[in-house]
Amino acid sequence: MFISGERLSVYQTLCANEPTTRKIVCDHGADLLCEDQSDRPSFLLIMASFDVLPLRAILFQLLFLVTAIALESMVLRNRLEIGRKTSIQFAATTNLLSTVIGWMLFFIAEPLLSDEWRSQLISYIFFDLTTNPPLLIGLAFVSFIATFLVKLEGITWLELLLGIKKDAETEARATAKFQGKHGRRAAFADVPNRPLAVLWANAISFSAITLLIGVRLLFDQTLGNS
Amino acid sequence: MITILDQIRKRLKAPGWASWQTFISLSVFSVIVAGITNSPIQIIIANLGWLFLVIGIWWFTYDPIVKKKLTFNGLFIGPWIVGAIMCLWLFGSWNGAPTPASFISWPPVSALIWSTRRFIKGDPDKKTPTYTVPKPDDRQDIVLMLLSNLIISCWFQLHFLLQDWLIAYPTIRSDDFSRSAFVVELYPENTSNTGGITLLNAAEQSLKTRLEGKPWADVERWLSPEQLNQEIPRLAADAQKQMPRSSENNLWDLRGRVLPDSQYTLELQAIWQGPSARTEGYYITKACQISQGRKLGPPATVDPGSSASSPRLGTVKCEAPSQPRPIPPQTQT
Repeated sequence: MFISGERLSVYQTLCANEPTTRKIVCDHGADLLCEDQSDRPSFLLIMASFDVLPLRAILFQLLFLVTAIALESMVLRNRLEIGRKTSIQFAATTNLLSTVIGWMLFFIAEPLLSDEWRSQLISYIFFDLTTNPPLLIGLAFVSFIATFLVKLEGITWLELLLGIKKDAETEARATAKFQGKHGRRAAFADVPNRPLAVLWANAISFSAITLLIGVRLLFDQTLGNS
Repeated sequence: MITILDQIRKRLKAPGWASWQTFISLSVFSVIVAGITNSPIQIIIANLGWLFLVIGIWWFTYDPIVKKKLTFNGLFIGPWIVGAIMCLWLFGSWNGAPTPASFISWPPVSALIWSTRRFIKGDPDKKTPTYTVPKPDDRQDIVLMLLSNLIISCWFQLHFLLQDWLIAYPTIRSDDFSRSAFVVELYPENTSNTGGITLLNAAEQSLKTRLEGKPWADVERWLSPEQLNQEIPRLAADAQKQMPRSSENNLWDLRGRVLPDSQYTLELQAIWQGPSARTEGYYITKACQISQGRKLGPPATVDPGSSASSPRLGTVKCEAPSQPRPIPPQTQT
C-alpha cells in the first residue's frame, strides 16, 4: 500500500469525527476515502490535499536553474572553446542531472531522519527558522563539491553518449604540452582545461544562487519590518 | 444535427482491422465482459481492457490530424495523455481514481513514451518499422526531456511528502506559513488548533471523573500544591490515552496550576513543543472553576442522628480553550 502508517491512523480519526461517515473503505492500492451515508466520497480528504502547495519551491528552483544554465553556458563557451549550442546543451544537462540527483538523495534520506532532525527540517521548510546555521553552511559546502563532481562526470558521459569526438587540434596541443624540450611548449593556460572550466562555472552559478537567496532574505526582512 | 451525427459516425467507423477504432471497441467490449464475470477472470479481462484502451489512445493521438491539433509551440502533448492513462492503469485505484504513485510516475512514463518514436526507423525494404539507435541530436533531446520530467515528478513527490507531514502533525497546519520559502497557503483561514483543544477537552473529562461528586475535603486535598504536582502527570497520562493515535501526541505537554487568589480556579495548560512559527513556542489554556455544590436528588431515609446539612461535593465547570499565547521567557515549574 502506498500509505504511511500515520496517514492511515489520522484518516481513521478524521472519518470517526465526521458526523455523517459510517466507515472507512480501503480501495485497492489507493487512499482511504470517507464515504457518507449516500455512498458519495467525501471531499474532505481530497480538498485537504490542495490548500498548501510547494509553489514557492518550484518557482525558486526554476529561477535558479535558468540562472545557472545561462551563466554556466557562458563560462563553458569561454573556457572550453565550444560553440553556443553545445555549451547550452552541456550546461542544461549537467544542471538538470545534479538537481535530480539532489532530489533523489533528499527523498532517500528523509525517512531515515530521527524525529528531532525531522522536526528541524519541518520548521525550516514551513517557517524558515533554523536553529543550526553551521549545519546549513556545511550542507551548502558539501553540495558545492558534490555538484562539481557530478557536473564533471556528467559532461564526460554526455560526450560519450553523443559520440562527440575530441577535436584533433586540441589533442595535438595537449600532447605537445608534454613533449618537453623537443616539442613546442604550449603554455598551460592555452590548453582548454575541462575540470578548471567546470569548477569556475560551478562557482559562478553557486555565487549567483547565493546572491539571489540573499536578495530574497533582505527583501523579506524589509517587508516584514515595514 | 444530422450532419454532426454523420461526421461522428464517419470518424468512429473503423477503416480497417489495424486502426485505433478496433482497439477502443475491444476495450469497451472487455469492460462489458469484465462486468459480467467475476474474479479471477474479471481481473485479467479488466487489465486487458485497460491495455487495449492505452494502445487505442496511443494510436489515436499519433493520427496526423489529431497530432497537429495537439502540438503547441512545437511540443506534441500526446505522450502525456497516453502516459496519464497508463499511469492510472498501473498505479491507480480500483475505480480509476489517481493515487500519489500515479502522479509521481506520470512525467517519466510520458517522457519514455515520447522518446519511443525516436527508436523506430521506417525500413523502406521491409515496410515495417525496425528498432534503431537514435541519432545524436535525438539522444540529447531524449536526455533533456527525461531529466526535466524527472524534476517535475520530484516536485509532485515533494507535494505529497509535505501533505504527509501535515497529516502526521496536524497542529502545524494552524500556524502561519507566510515566511516560508517553500510553500504557499492558498486558503489562509484560521484553522483551529485541533491537537491542543482535543488534549484539553480530554483533560477536562479526566478531571471531572476525578473531582466531580467527590467530598469537598478530598477535592481540596487534591488541589493542594504537593498533591497537585503528583496528580497532574497522572491526569496528563489519562488524557493522552484518550487522544487519537498520532505522532504529535508526545509533543504536547499538559501542565496545571491553581490560580492564586481564587477558590479554586485550575488552569490547564497544553504546551506545544514542536515546530512553530513563534520561536519561543506557545501554549493554550483552559480555566476550570472548581467549587462546592450540593448533592441533588431525593434525600435518603431520614436518620434522626445524622447532621442537618447534606454533604458538600465538588463540581467542575470549564471554559472554552483560549487562543495560543507565547511562552514567557522565564521557565514555568
